[in-house]
Amino acid sequence: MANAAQKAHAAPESRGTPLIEMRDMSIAFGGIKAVDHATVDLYPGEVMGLLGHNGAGKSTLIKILSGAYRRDHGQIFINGEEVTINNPRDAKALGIETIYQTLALADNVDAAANLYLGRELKTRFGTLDDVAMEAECRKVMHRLNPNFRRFKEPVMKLSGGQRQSVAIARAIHFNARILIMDEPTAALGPQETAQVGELIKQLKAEGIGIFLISHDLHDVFDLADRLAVMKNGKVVGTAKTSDVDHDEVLGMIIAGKCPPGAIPGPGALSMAN
Amino acid sequence: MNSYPWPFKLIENYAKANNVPIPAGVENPDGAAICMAAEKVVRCSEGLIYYTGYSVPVIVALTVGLAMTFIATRTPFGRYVYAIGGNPEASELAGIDTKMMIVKVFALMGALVGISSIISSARLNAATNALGLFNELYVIAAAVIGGTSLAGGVGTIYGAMLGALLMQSIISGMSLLNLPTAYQSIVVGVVLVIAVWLDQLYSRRVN
Repeated sequence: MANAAQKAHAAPESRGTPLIEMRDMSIAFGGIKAVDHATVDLYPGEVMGLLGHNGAGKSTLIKILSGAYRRDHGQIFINGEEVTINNPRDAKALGIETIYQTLALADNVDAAANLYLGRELKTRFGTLDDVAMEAECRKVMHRLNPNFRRFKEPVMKLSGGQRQSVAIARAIHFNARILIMDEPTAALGPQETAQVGELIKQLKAEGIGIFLISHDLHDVFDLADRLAVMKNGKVVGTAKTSDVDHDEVLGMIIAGKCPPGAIPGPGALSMAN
Repeated sequence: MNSYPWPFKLIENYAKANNVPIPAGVENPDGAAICMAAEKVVRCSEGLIYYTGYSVPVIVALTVGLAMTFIATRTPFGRYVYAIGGNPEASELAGIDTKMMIVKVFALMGALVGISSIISSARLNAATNALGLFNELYVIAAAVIGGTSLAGGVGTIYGAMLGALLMQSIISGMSLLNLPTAYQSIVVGVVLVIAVWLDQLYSRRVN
Protein backbone atom coordinates (compact mmCIF):
# COMPACT_ATOMS: atom_id res chain seq x y z
CA MET A 1 0.00 0.00 0.00
CA ALA A 2 2.78 2.38 0.89
CA ASN A 3 4.29 1.59 -2.48
CA ALA A 4 1.17 2.52 -4.40
CA ALA A 5 0.82 5.69 -2.40
CA GLN A 6 4.39 6.66 -3.15
CA LYS A 7 3.86 6.00 -6.82
CA ALA A 8 0.76 8.15 -6.91
CA HIS A 9 2.59 10.82 -5.01
CA ALA A 10 5.62 10.67 -7.27
CA ALA A 11 3.64 11.12 -10.47
CA PRO A 12 2.53 14.73 -9.96
CA GLU A 13 5.96 15.72 -8.66
CA SER A 14 7.47 14.80 -12.00
CA ARG A 15 5.27 17.42 -13.67
CA GLY A 16 7.01 20.30 -11.95
CA THR A 17 5.45 23.05 -9.85
CA PRO A 18 1.71 22.96 -9.48
CA LEU A 19 -0.36 25.75 -11.04
CA ILE A 20 -2.04 26.19 -7.72
CA GLU A 21 -1.32 24.83 -4.31
CA MET A 22 -3.52 25.50 -1.31
CA ARG A 23 -1.51 24.44 1.70
CA ASP A 24 -2.92 23.81 5.14
CA MET A 25 -6.06 25.91 4.62
CA SER A 26 -8.38 26.47 7.57
CA ILE A 27 -11.49 28.53 8.05
CA ALA A 28 -13.99 28.47 10.90
CA PHE A 29 -17.43 30.04 11.17
CA GLY A 30 -17.99 30.52 14.85
CA GLY A 31 -17.21 27.17 16.41
CA ILE A 32 -17.63 25.18 13.21
CA LYS A 33 -14.44 24.30 11.38
CA ALA A 34 -15.72 24.38 7.80
CA VAL A 35 -12.28 23.69 6.37
CA ASP A 36 -9.72 22.09 8.64
CA HIS A 37 -6.08 22.04 7.50
CA ALA A 38 -6.88 21.03 3.95
CA THR A 39 -4.19 20.82 1.28
CA VAL A 40 -4.99 20.49 -2.43
CA ASP A 41 -3.03 21.21 -5.58
CA LEU A 42 -3.76 21.56 -9.26
CA TYR A 43 -1.52 21.27 -12.31
CA PRO A 44 -1.88 23.08 -15.66
CA GLY A 45 -4.21 21.29 -18.03
CA GLU A 46 -5.59 19.15 -15.25
CA VAL A 47 -9.11 18.66 -13.99
CA MET A 48 -9.25 18.10 -10.25
CA GLY A 49 -12.53 16.71 -8.97
CA LEU A 50 -13.58 17.76 -5.47
CA LEU A 51 -16.03 15.37 -3.86
CA GLY A 52 -17.78 15.05 -0.55
CA HIS A 53 -21.06 15.24 1.30
CA ASN A 54 -23.13 18.38 1.47
CA GLY A 55 -21.39 20.49 4.07
CA ALA A 56 -18.07 18.69 3.70
CA GLY A 57 -16.32 21.99 3.01
CA LYS A 58 -15.74 21.73 -0.74
CA SER A 59 -17.52 24.94 -1.64
CA THR A 60 -15.99 26.76 1.30
CA LEU A 61 -12.51 25.66 0.28
CA ILE A 62 -12.86 26.95 -3.25
CA LYS A 63 -14.57 30.11 -2.04
CA ILE A 64 -11.34 30.90 -0.19
CA LEU A 65 -9.53 30.53 -3.52
CA SER A 66 -12.01 32.73 -5.35
CA GLY A 67 -11.79 35.42 -2.67
CA ALA A 68 -15.33 35.15 -1.35
CA TYR A 69 -14.10 34.09 2.12
CA ARG A 70 -10.92 35.08 3.92
CA ARG A 71 -8.94 32.17 5.27
CA ASP A 72 -8.02 31.90 8.95
CA HIS A 73 -4.89 29.92 8.27
CA GLY A 74 -2.92 28.56 5.33
CA GLN A 75 -1.03 29.64 2.25
CA ILE A 76 -1.90 29.79 -1.45
CA PHE A 77 0.80 29.36 -4.07
CA ILE A 78 0.39 30.05 -7.78
CA ASN A 79 3.24 28.67 -9.90
CA GLY A 80 5.23 28.27 -6.69
CA GLU A 81 4.85 31.89 -5.58
CA GLU A 82 2.82 32.75 -2.55
CA VAL A 83 -0.12 35.05 -3.27
CA THR A 84 -2.60 36.88 -1.08
CA ILE A 85 -6.26 36.71 -2.02
CA ASN A 86 -8.36 38.95 0.17
CA ASN A 87 -11.34 39.61 -2.12
CA PRO A 88 -12.75 38.48 -5.48
CA ARG A 89 -10.90 41.25 -7.29
CA ASP A 90 -7.54 39.83 -6.17
CA ALA A 91 -8.56 36.39 -7.44
CA LYS A 92 -9.67 37.72 -10.82
CA ALA A 93 -6.43 39.66 -11.19
CA LEU A 94 -4.59 36.33 -10.77
CA GLY A 95 -6.71 34.70 -13.49
CA ILE A 96 -8.95 32.70 -11.17
CA GLU A 97 -12.52 32.56 -12.48
CA THR A 98 -15.39 30.87 -10.68
CA ILE A 99 -18.76 29.44 -11.58
CA TYR A 100 -20.64 29.49 -8.30
CA GLN A 101 -23.25 26.99 -7.25
CA THR A 102 -25.68 29.88 -6.81
CA LEU A 103 -24.46 31.27 -10.18
CA ALA A 104 -23.97 34.72 -8.60
CA LEU A 105 -25.81 36.62 -11.31
CA ALA A 106 -27.30 40.08 -10.90
CA ASP A 107 -30.89 39.10 -11.70
CA ASN A 108 -32.18 42.50 -12.73
CA VAL A 109 -29.78 43.22 -15.61
CA ASP A 110 -29.40 41.44 -18.96
CA ALA A 111 -26.97 38.74 -20.06
CA ALA A 112 -24.36 41.10 -21.55
CA ALA A 113 -24.34 43.25 -18.41
CA ASN A 114 -23.79 40.15 -16.28
CA LEU A 115 -21.05 38.87 -18.58
CA TYR A 116 -19.09 42.11 -18.22
CA LEU A 117 -20.10 42.98 -14.66
CA GLY A 118 -17.13 44.65 -13.01
CA ARG A 119 -15.16 44.70 -16.30
CA GLU A 120 -17.36 46.74 -18.61
CA LEU A 121 -16.23 47.69 -22.09
CA LYS A 122 -16.10 51.46 -22.34
CA THR A 123 -16.20 53.98 -25.15
CA ARG A 124 -13.46 56.58 -25.33
CA PHE A 125 -15.63 58.92 -23.23
CA GLY A 126 -15.65 56.45 -20.37
CA THR A 127 -19.29 55.54 -20.84
CA LEU A 128 -20.64 52.01 -21.23
CA ASP A 129 -20.24 50.51 -24.69
CA ASP A 130 -23.42 48.44 -24.66
CA VAL A 131 -23.31 47.71 -28.39
CA ALA A 132 -19.85 46.13 -28.23
CA MET A 133 -20.71 44.22 -25.04
CA GLU A 134 -23.84 42.76 -26.56
CA ALA A 135 -22.00 41.79 -29.75
CA GLU A 136 -19.33 39.97 -27.71
CA CYS A 137 -22.01 38.39 -25.56
CA ARG A 138 -23.76 37.04 -28.65
CA LYS A 139 -20.51 35.42 -29.80
CA VAL A 140 -19.78 33.72 -26.47
CA MET A 141 -23.35 32.61 -25.93
CA HIS A 142 -23.51 31.23 -29.44
CA ARG A 143 -20.57 28.98 -28.61
CA LEU A 144 -22.18 27.74 -25.38
CA ASN A 145 -25.87 27.74 -26.12
CA PRO A 146 -26.71 28.31 -29.82
CA ASN A 147 -30.44 28.53 -29.10
CA PHE A 148 -30.06 31.48 -26.75
CA ARG A 149 -31.89 34.54 -28.09
CA ARG A 150 -33.05 36.50 -25.07
CA PHE A 151 -30.27 39.06 -24.87
CA LYS A 152 -32.45 42.02 -23.92
CA GLU A 153 -34.20 40.49 -20.93
CA PRO A 154 -33.05 40.57 -17.32
CA VAL A 155 -31.56 37.20 -16.41
CA MET A 156 -34.22 36.56 -13.75
CA LYS A 157 -36.62 35.83 -16.63
CA LEU A 158 -34.33 33.17 -18.13
CA SER A 159 -34.57 29.43 -17.51
CA GLY A 160 -32.15 27.66 -15.15
CA GLY A 161 -30.07 26.28 -18.01
CA GLN A 162 -29.86 29.66 -19.72
CA ARG A 163 -28.79 31.32 -16.48
CA GLN A 164 -26.15 28.66 -16.01
CA SER A 165 -24.76 29.25 -19.50
CA VAL A 166 -24.51 32.96 -18.73
CA ALA A 167 -22.51 32.12 -15.60
CA ILE A 168 -20.25 29.74 -17.55
CA ALA A 169 -19.78 32.33 -20.31
CA ARG A 170 -18.64 34.86 -17.74
CA ALA A 171 -16.03 32.50 -16.34
CA ILE A 172 -14.48 31.44 -19.65
CA HIS A 173 -14.59 34.76 -21.47
CA PHE A 174 -11.69 36.46 -19.72
CA ASN A 175 -8.76 34.13 -20.40
CA ALA A 176 -8.76 32.42 -17.04
CA ARG A 177 -5.74 30.38 -15.96
CA ILE A 178 -7.63 28.63 -13.20
CA LEU A 179 -11.28 27.79 -13.42
CA ILE A 180 -13.42 26.77 -10.47
CA MET A 181 -16.67 25.04 -11.34
CA ASP A 182 -19.03 24.49 -8.43
CA GLU A 183 -21.65 22.05 -9.75
CA PRO A 184 -21.66 23.57 -13.23
CA THR A 185 -24.18 21.12 -14.65
CA ALA A 186 -26.69 21.16 -11.78
CA ALA A 187 -29.45 22.91 -13.77
CA LEU A 188 -28.60 21.60 -17.23
CA GLY A 189 -30.28 19.02 -19.42
CA PRO A 190 -28.39 16.04 -20.87
CA GLN A 191 -27.46 17.85 -24.07
CA GLU A 192 -26.10 20.94 -22.30
CA THR A 193 -24.28 18.73 -19.79
CA ALA A 194 -22.51 16.99 -22.66
CA GLN A 195 -21.66 20.41 -24.07
CA VAL A 196 -20.14 21.49 -20.76
CA GLY A 197 -18.12 18.23 -20.77
CA GLU A 198 -16.80 19.08 -24.24
CA LEU A 199 -16.01 22.57 -23.06
CA ILE A 200 -14.05 21.27 -20.07
CA LYS A 201 -11.97 19.03 -22.35
CA GLN A 202 -11.35 21.95 -24.68
CA LEU A 203 -10.27 24.26 -21.84
CA LYS A 204 -8.07 21.52 -20.43
CA ALA A 205 -6.30 21.21 -23.79
CA GLU A 206 -5.60 24.95 -23.61
CA GLY A 207 -3.66 24.34 -20.39
CA ILE A 208 -6.22 25.75 -17.96
CA GLY A 209 -6.41 24.12 -14.54
CA ILE A 210 -9.94 23.28 -13.45
CA PHE A 211 -11.39 22.52 -10.02
CA LEU A 212 -14.61 20.61 -10.60
CA ILE A 213 -17.01 20.21 -7.71
CA SER A 214 -19.72 17.69 -8.38
CA HIS A 215 -22.01 15.21 -6.71
CA ASP A 216 -22.14 13.11 -9.84
CA LEU A 217 -19.46 10.40 -9.67
CA HIS A 218 -19.89 9.60 -13.35
CA ASP A 219 -19.15 13.19 -14.31
CA VAL A 220 -16.07 13.26 -12.14
CA PHE A 221 -14.76 9.95 -13.48
CA ASP A 222 -15.41 11.09 -17.06
CA LEU A 223 -13.84 14.51 -16.79
CA ALA A 224 -11.38 14.62 -13.91
CA ASP A 225 -7.75 13.48 -13.94
CA ARG A 226 -7.46 13.40 -10.17
CA LEU A 227 -9.95 13.68 -7.37
CA ALA A 228 -9.88 14.82 -3.78
CA VAL A 229 -12.48 13.76 -1.25
CA MET A 230 -13.43 15.93 1.72
CA LYS A 231 -15.29 14.98 4.85
CA ASN A 232 -16.06 17.25 7.81
CA GLY A 233 -13.72 19.91 6.44
CA LYS A 234 -10.76 17.57 6.17
CA VAL A 235 -9.24 15.99 3.09
CA VAL A 236 -9.81 12.23 3.24
CA GLY A 237 -7.47 11.58 0.37
CA THR A 238 -6.46 12.41 -3.16
CA ALA A 239 -6.16 9.92 -6.00
CA LYS A 240 -5.80 9.64 -9.72
CA THR A 241 -9.18 8.70 -11.16
CA SER A 242 -7.51 5.77 -12.92
CA ASP A 243 -6.26 4.34 -9.60
CA VAL A 244 -9.63 4.09 -7.84
CA ASP A 245 -13.11 2.85 -8.71
CA HIS A 246 -16.58 4.13 -7.89
CA ASP A 247 -17.03 1.97 -4.78
CA GLU A 248 -13.73 3.03 -3.29
CA VAL A 249 -14.57 6.70 -3.86
CA LEU A 250 -18.00 6.18 -2.29
CA GLY A 251 -16.22 4.63 0.70
CA MET A 252 -14.05 7.72 0.93
CA ILE A 253 -17.05 10.06 0.76
CA ILE A 254 -19.27 8.18 3.20
CA ALA A 255 -16.90 6.52 5.65
CA GLY A 256 -13.69 8.43 5.14
CA LYS A 257 -11.94 5.15 4.32
CA CYS A 258 -8.88 5.70 2.18
CA PRO A 259 -8.31 2.97 -0.46
CA PRO A 260 -4.83 1.72 -1.35
CA GLY A 261 -4.75 3.68 -4.61
CA ALA A 262 -5.12 7.05 -2.88
CA ILE A 263 -2.84 9.28 -0.87
CA PRO A 264 -4.43 9.57 2.56
CA GLY A 265 -5.04 13.04 3.99
CA PRO A 266 -5.63 14.16 7.58
CA GLY A 267 -9.32 13.24 7.37
CA ALA A 268 -8.75 9.55 6.55
CA LEU A 269 -9.75 6.89 9.06
CA SER A 270 -6.67 5.58 10.79
CA MET A 271 -5.74 2.00 9.95
CA ALA A 272 -6.30 0.96 13.57
CA ASN A 273 -10.07 1.45 13.06
CA MET B 1 -40.49 76.76 -21.16
CA ASN B 2 -41.82 77.33 -17.70
CA SER B 3 -42.36 81.09 -18.15
CA TYR B 4 -46.08 81.71 -18.31
CA PRO B 5 -48.41 84.70 -17.74
CA TRP B 6 -50.00 85.04 -14.35
CA PRO B 7 -53.56 83.74 -13.94
CA PHE B 8 -56.13 86.50 -14.47
CA LYS B 9 -57.51 86.58 -10.92
CA LEU B 10 -54.02 86.88 -9.50
CA ILE B 11 -53.09 89.70 -11.82
CA GLU B 12 -56.34 91.51 -11.10
CA ASN B 13 -55.50 91.55 -7.39
CA TYR B 14 -51.94 92.57 -8.17
CA ALA B 15 -53.15 95.48 -10.34
CA LYS B 16 -55.52 96.66 -7.61
CA ALA B 17 -52.84 96.47 -4.92
CA ASN B 18 -50.29 98.37 -7.01
CA ASN B 19 -52.68 100.88 -8.58
CA VAL B 20 -52.07 99.62 -12.11
CA PRO B 21 -54.97 100.71 -14.29
CA ILE B 22 -56.94 97.87 -15.80
CA PRO B 23 -57.72 98.51 -19.46
CA ALA B 24 -61.24 99.76 -19.95
CA GLY B 25 -63.68 97.28 -21.34
CA VAL B 26 -67.23 96.83 -22.52
CA GLU B 27 -69.79 94.76 -20.72
CA ASN B 28 -70.90 91.36 -21.79
CA PRO B 29 -74.57 90.48 -21.89
CA ASP B 30 -73.97 88.49 -18.65
CA GLY B 31 -72.29 91.43 -16.94
CA ALA B 32 -68.59 90.45 -17.15
CA ALA B 33 -66.19 93.06 -18.44
CA ILE B 34 -64.57 92.46 -21.82
CA CYS B 35 -61.25 94.01 -22.83
CA MET B 36 -59.35 94.27 -26.07
CA ALA B 37 -55.79 93.05 -26.09
CA ALA B 38 -53.81 92.85 -29.33
CA GLU B 39 -56.98 92.85 -31.46
CA LYS B 40 -58.38 89.98 -29.40
CA VAL B 41 -61.39 90.00 -27.13
CA VAL B 42 -60.32 88.67 -23.71
CA ARG B 43 -61.46 88.84 -20.11
CA CYS B 44 -60.46 92.13 -18.61
CA SER B 45 -57.47 91.33 -16.45
CA GLU B 46 -55.94 89.21 -19.20
CA GLY B 47 -55.46 92.44 -21.12
CA LEU B 48 -52.82 93.12 -18.52
CA ILE B 49 -50.18 90.48 -19.17
CA TYR B 50 -47.48 89.95 -16.63
CA TYR B 51 -44.59 87.44 -16.81
CA THR B 52 -42.30 86.68 -13.90
CA GLY B 53 -39.63 84.88 -15.96
CA TYR B 54 -38.26 81.40 -15.62
CA SER B 55 -38.55 79.34 -12.49
CA VAL B 56 -34.94 78.44 -11.77
CA PRO B 57 -35.66 75.44 -9.47
CA VAL B 58 -37.54 73.74 -12.33
CA ILE B 59 -34.56 74.24 -14.66
CA VAL B 60 -32.21 72.94 -11.94
CA ALA B 61 -34.44 69.89 -11.41
CA LEU B 62 -34.55 69.07 -15.12
CA THR B 63 -30.77 69.47 -15.44
CA VAL B 64 -30.14 67.25 -12.42
CA GLY B 65 -32.63 64.73 -13.80
CA LEU B 66 -30.83 64.57 -17.15
CA ALA B 67 -27.40 64.30 -15.50
CA MET B 68 -28.57 61.54 -13.15
CA THR B 69 -30.22 59.62 -15.99
CA PHE B 70 -26.93 59.73 -17.86
CA ILE B 71 -25.03 58.48 -14.78
CA ALA B 72 -27.57 55.73 -14.12
CA THR B 73 -27.77 54.32 -17.64
CA ARG B 74 -24.53 55.16 -19.43
CA THR B 75 -21.75 54.82 -16.86
CA PRO B 76 -20.22 51.79 -15.09
CA PHE B 77 -21.12 53.48 -11.80
CA GLY B 78 -24.83 53.37 -12.67
CA ARG B 79 -24.57 49.79 -13.86
CA TYR B 80 -22.97 48.80 -10.54
CA VAL B 81 -25.69 50.59 -8.58
CA TYR B 82 -28.36 48.54 -10.38
CA ALA B 83 -26.35 45.31 -10.01
CA ILE B 84 -25.80 45.84 -6.28
CA GLY B 85 -29.51 46.56 -5.90
CA GLY B 86 -30.33 43.30 -7.67
CA ASN B 87 -27.87 40.99 -5.95
CA PRO B 88 -25.25 42.45 -3.58
CA GLU B 89 -23.39 39.17 -3.05
CA ALA B 90 -23.14 38.45 -6.77
CA SER B 91 -21.85 41.97 -7.35
CA GLU B 92 -19.16 41.49 -4.72
CA LEU B 93 -18.20 38.14 -6.27
CA ALA B 94 -18.10 39.75 -9.72
CA GLY B 95 -15.33 41.98 -8.41
CA ILE B 96 -17.22 45.17 -7.61
CA ASP B 97 -16.01 46.94 -4.49
CA THR B 98 -19.51 47.06 -3.01
CA LYS B 99 -18.53 48.82 0.22
CA MET B 100 -16.86 51.65 -1.70
CA MET B 101 -19.82 51.81 -4.07
CA ILE B 102 -22.24 52.26 -1.18
CA VAL B 103 -20.09 55.07 0.21
CA LYS B 104 -20.14 56.72 -3.23
CA VAL B 105 -23.92 56.37 -3.50
CA PHE B 106 -24.37 58.02 -0.11
CA ALA B 107 -21.96 60.80 -1.14
CA LEU B 108 -23.94 61.36 -4.34
CA MET B 109 -27.16 61.50 -2.35
CA GLY B 110 -25.54 64.04 -0.02
CA ALA B 111 -24.63 66.22 -3.01
CA LEU B 112 -28.21 66.06 -4.35
CA VAL B 113 -29.62 66.92 -0.93
CA GLY B 114 -27.19 69.85 -0.91
CA ILE B 115 -28.69 71.14 -4.18
CA SER B 116 -32.24 70.77 -2.90
CA SER B 117 -31.40 72.49 0.37
CA ILE B 118 -29.94 75.44 -1.57
CA ILE B 119 -33.25 75.71 -3.46
CA SER B 120 -35.26 75.34 -0.27
CA SER B 121 -33.36 77.98 1.65
CA ALA B 122 -33.36 80.34 -1.36
CA ARG B 123 -37.11 79.99 -1.60
CA LEU B 124 -37.70 80.75 2.07
CA ASN B 125 -34.80 83.19 2.24
CA ALA B 126 -34.01 81.49 5.53
CA ALA B 127 -32.54 78.20 6.64
CA THR B 128 -32.86 76.11 9.75
CA ASN B 129 -31.03 72.98 10.75
CA ALA B 130 -34.31 71.07 10.32
CA LEU B 131 -35.10 72.31 6.82
CA GLY B 132 -35.85 69.01 5.12
CA LEU B 133 -37.10 67.15 8.16
CA PHE B 134 -40.18 64.96 7.57
CA ASN B 135 -39.71 65.18 3.80
CA GLU B 136 -38.29 61.62 3.80
CA LEU B 137 -41.73 60.04 3.62
CA TYR B 138 -42.70 62.17 0.61
CA VAL B 139 -39.39 61.33 -1.09
CA ILE B 140 -39.81 57.59 -0.56
CA ALA B 141 -43.43 57.79 -1.71
CA ALA B 142 -42.41 59.69 -4.84
CA ALA B 143 -39.71 57.13 -5.70
CA VAL B 144 -42.06 54.17 -5.19
CA ILE B 145 -44.87 55.79 -7.19
CA GLY B 146 -42.31 56.38 -9.93
CA GLY B 147 -41.58 52.65 -10.18
CA THR B 148 -38.56 52.27 -7.89
CA SER B 149 -38.64 48.88 -6.20
CA LEU B 150 -38.19 48.85 -2.43
CA ALA B 151 -36.44 45.48 -2.88
CA GLY B 152 -33.79 47.23 -4.97
CA GLY B 153 -32.36 47.09 -8.44
CA VAL B 154 -35.38 48.47 -10.31
CA GLY B 155 -36.31 52.07 -11.06
CA THR B 156 -35.62 55.09 -13.22
CA ILE B 157 -34.75 58.73 -12.56
CA TYR B 158 -37.56 60.14 -14.71
CA GLY B 159 -40.00 57.79 -12.97
CA ALA B 160 -39.00 59.18 -9.60
CA MET B 161 -39.36 62.73 -10.94
CA LEU B 162 -42.85 62.00 -12.26
CA GLY B 163 -43.64 60.43 -8.88
CA ALA B 164 -42.46 63.59 -7.13
CA LEU B 165 -44.63 65.69 -9.46
CA LEU B 166 -47.67 63.58 -8.64
CA MET B 167 -46.96 63.59 -4.91
CA GLN B 168 -46.44 67.36 -4.83
CA SER B 169 -49.61 67.90 -6.91
CA ILE B 170 -51.58 65.93 -4.35
CA ILE B 171 -50.06 67.82 -1.41
CA SER B 172 -50.44 71.28 -3.00
CA GLY B 173 -53.95 70.45 -4.13
CA MET B 174 -54.96 69.45 -0.64
CA SER B 175 -53.48 72.67 0.77
CA LEU B 176 -55.43 74.73 -1.78
CA LEU B 177 -58.58 72.86 -0.77
CA ASN B 178 -57.91 73.87 2.83
CA LEU B 179 -57.80 70.26 3.98
CA PRO B 180 -56.58 69.96 7.61
CA THR B 181 -52.95 68.80 7.95
CA ALA B 182 -54.04 65.62 9.73
CA TYR B 183 -56.12 64.55 6.72
CA GLN B 184 -53.29 65.48 4.37
CA SER B 185 -50.99 63.09 6.23
CA ILE B 186 -53.60 60.35 6.01
CA VAL B 187 -53.94 60.82 2.24
CA VAL B 188 -50.15 60.74 1.77
CA GLY B 189 -49.93 57.57 3.85
CA VAL B 190 -52.73 55.89 1.89
CA VAL B 191 -51.08 56.81 -1.42
CA LEU B 192 -47.78 55.36 -0.18
CA VAL B 193 -49.41 52.12 0.98
CA ILE B 194 -51.18 51.70 -2.37
CA ALA B 195 -47.93 52.35 -4.24
CA VAL B 196 -46.03 49.77 -2.17
CA TRP B 197 -48.87 47.25 -2.57
CA LEU B 198 -48.83 47.68 -6.37
CA ASP B 199 -45.01 47.34 -6.32
CA GLN B 200 -45.30 44.04 -4.41
CA LEU B 201 -48.05 42.81 -6.71
CA TYR B 202 -45.96 43.64 -9.77
CA SER B 203 -42.75 42.01 -8.50
CA ARG B 204 -44.69 38.88 -7.53
CA ARG B 205 -46.09 38.65 -11.03
CA VAL B 206 -42.62 39.09 -12.57
CA ASN B 207 -41.28 36.17 -10.54
